[in-house]
Amino acid sequence: MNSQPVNTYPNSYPDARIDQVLEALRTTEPPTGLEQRIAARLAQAAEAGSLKTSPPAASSYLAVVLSAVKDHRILLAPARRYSAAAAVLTLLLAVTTIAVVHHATPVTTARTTPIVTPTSTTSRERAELQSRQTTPPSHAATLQVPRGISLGSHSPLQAAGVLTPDSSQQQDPDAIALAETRAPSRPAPPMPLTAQEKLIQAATRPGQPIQLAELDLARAPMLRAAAEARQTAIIDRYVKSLLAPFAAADALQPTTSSQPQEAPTSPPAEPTSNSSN
Amino acid sequence: MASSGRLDLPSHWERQWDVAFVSAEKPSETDVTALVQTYSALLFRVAHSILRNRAESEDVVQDVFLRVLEHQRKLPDIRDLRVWLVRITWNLAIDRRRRIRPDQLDEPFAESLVAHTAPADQALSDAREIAATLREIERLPKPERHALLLSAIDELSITEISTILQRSESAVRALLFRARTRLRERLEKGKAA
Repeated sequence: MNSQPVNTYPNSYPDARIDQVLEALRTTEPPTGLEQRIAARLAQAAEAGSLKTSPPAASSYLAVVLSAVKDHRILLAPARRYSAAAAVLTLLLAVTTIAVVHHATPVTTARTTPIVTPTSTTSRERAELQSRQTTPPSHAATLQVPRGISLGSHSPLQAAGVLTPDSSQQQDPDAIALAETRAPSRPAPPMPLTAQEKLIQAATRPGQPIQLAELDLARAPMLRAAAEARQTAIIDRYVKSLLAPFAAADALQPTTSSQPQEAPTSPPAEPTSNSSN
Repeated sequence: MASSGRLDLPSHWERQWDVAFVSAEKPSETDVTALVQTYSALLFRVAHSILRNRAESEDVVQDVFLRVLEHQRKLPDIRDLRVWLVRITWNLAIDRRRRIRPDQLDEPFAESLVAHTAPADQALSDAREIAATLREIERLPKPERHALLLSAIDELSITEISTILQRSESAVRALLFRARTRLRERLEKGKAA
């Protein structure tokens, strides 16, 4: 009698299983948001500096323009039509703006008047200062500001009486800003304690005035006597509060409580004759 | 391939062509964003055919586009960007597969293919059959296995598979035939054992 083989792999339809596996691989859909995650990782990599890439928007527009030059069909593509038009318009607008602005306003980079003029300068110093009109004034030569001037003021040098700018420079915000920039720096005031620091300070320094005063040997006996009197008064108050109910009961029953208790008397001595009987 | 060097695309892929053809064929100034939009799904399927795990496949696709970003200046010199991307994905997926035990990937994938409405004993039997099929696919000779798995990706033609595997088209067809035959024989042998 032939026994049927045990099917460890019951592959009744190998081709069907093969097709099922290949079909599953074929129809696998990418997870949702795959493109966004890839773009985020690319941006992260670009920000990390490991990769040197141009900004994606600029490169995208550049690719569109260059491709459009080579192949006109890119302009007909629905997804790219508006991007190409926007890129071309942006480029034309940028070129026009740069041309107009560059030729309309001449740029002056050198200052022709001194920024500040010391009041007590001698003629030689004044000549030196005039000779340096086109060069930026040095820090030590132009500004001798004593310490202690408030940085919050908009005219620290004038407040210190070191510099007296003329009327035109009083209204010049650039001169004021430059003077404040060149004012000497001072250390910042101490920062206030935080809540945690205050707690630490309170824990390490209890600050009990009596404890601190007891360290004074001259006042120690007096303070110690005061403390003992205070302790005695506390104990007396406690005892009185304990005995208060009994005092009230005595007040309600004055007879019983007022009668003095008789002294225990010795029992009368029995006559010896009875005992003998 | 068309006469202009452009790849013949399936009909469902034509929709993406407008976005892709700017950069895919001769990317003078490659737009990585367009590449991601065009090829991420294809590359995910390529990686998934090797790894059979969605998270691992997504990691591989991200690594591929990082490499694209690194070699962005060389992209205009690449003749067929699509095949180049698939080959990078393929190699990265194989490297990643070597670091992972196959049963870690194949068993969950086999269970995911089983119908959830089937009875428990039937579902268990189906999962074992599918796992056995995947195991036998992994036991195939490497050229046959690669040809079979790449043929599962619908977007890849025989020409592209031959380019990726660096073999002729007739050799790829022969590999596919041998892989299918060998796989069927082994599965039937396992059934009879």
